[in-house]
Amino acid sequence: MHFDYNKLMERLDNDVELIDQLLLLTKEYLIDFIPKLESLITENNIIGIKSHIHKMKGTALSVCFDIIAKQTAELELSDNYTDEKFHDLKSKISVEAIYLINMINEKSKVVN
Amino acid sequence: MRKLDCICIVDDDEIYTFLLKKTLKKMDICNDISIYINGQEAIESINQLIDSNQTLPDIILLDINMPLLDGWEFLGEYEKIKDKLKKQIDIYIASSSISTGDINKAKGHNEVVDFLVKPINVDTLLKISTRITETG
Repeated sequence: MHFDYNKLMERLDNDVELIDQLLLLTKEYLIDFIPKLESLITENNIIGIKSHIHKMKGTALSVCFDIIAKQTAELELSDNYTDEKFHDLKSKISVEAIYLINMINEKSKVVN
Repeated sequence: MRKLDCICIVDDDEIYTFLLKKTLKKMDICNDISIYINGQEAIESINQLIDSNQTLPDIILLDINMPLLDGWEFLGEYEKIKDKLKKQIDIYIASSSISTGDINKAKGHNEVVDFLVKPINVDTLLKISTRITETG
């Protein structure tokens, strides 16, 4: 599931306002995530890459973005940042991030 | 149940800290919540609180992966100053890490009460606060 809304609602005691705030904050984070990852890869900053991916995983778990949480967990285990598998996963995460950004945009349109 | 003085969050994940702060406020289990984005800021603040004789946190929720001073390094610095502390502070490692190495290292550390897997839910927060209010 891209976004387990019901799980987040349950965890946050059905606080819709808080969820809306959280999603907007997460959208900003998602927008910055891929360009920053690309930049760290270009710099060959291994510690930075690991830390950046780990942080995204934590954020995804916090907001119940299940697919991207699973993808980043898988990416976190990677030891080779130049191989095809890593780049394939990174591409999938980019697609998922764009999907989630659009989903949040659509949701905020409905709210407003 | 008596309220705690302060819960301290040491973590650079702003979405997690935002969520945790809102949750703690809603639960109303502590008078104050302090947030530091790395271990360096946290240890400096604790030193200042000791020097100025101000209220120390009851609980520290400590992330592992942080810039400047990570969770393990923070614990190393904390050990150096803990004799100056006038109260017991319960430190929990709070991480999304599933590495058994991290979990075992945390559980084997003298200063760490337990390892909490993020995201931390209300039940866990109640449990760790009750541990203090019932014994304190």
